[in-house]
Amino acid sequence: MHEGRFDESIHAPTRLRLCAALRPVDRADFAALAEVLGLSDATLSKTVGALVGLGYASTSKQSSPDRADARRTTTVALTAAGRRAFDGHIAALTALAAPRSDG
Amino acid sequence: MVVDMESDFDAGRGPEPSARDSLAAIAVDRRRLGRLASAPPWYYPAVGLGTAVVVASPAFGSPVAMAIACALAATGLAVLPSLFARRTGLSISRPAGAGGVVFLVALALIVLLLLMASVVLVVLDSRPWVALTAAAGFLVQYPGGLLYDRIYRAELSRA
Repeated sequence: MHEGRFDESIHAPTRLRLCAALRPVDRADFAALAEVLGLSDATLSKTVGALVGLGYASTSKQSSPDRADARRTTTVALTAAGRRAFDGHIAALTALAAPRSDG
Repeated sequence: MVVDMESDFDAGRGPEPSARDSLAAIAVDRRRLGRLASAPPWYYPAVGLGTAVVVASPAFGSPVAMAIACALAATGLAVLPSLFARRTGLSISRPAGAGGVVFLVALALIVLLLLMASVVLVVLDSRPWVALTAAAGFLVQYPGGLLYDRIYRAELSRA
């Protein structure tokens, strides 16, 4: 169990949900993330950019055999710092959400 | 006292509802992720076929034939994750929890035992019976893989 560490920078719903979607996988492409999170490409792109700016995510472009043009698909992954931040934040949220014992 | 409904630290309200909402939203996303990460129908039969070839390889007549068969099967098994990633947009190389780890280790041990059984059968000059160990290797991976997917989805939603 990770020690709880509330991280305001990823508490915003879309950022947190993106981190949660990326945590169990090695990498995910934009289309998969948009499908899982139900976000538009613009919102997802903005959120990914924010996490990259924080050093919590990284992106890479790969050629896709599914594309007829020369454009490449972008995949996203959490960095080690992102994984630590997410794990700590989730532990903090879980502690916060736990039922209070005080009457 | 001004209560800022957007703040996680609303006076008298506390961050608990926001924390629960966040966790609930994550749970919904994780269920969607689990469905997306489920293997396509051809995946585990292909894994089973590769496993059957490996388990049957001691019966192929020579060390060279056995090595070639294992190399081809291993290549096929190595390509499957790439095909999965291309289809789903997800690259996954680890289980979602301890249960998945235990399950995969158990599958690997069973396949190893089946391979050893094939070797014993060949040594005892009972080569035709290797078809049974190979079939068992296929059956371990095909329903076994489907069960692993269920374990993965369950552990993913709890992670």
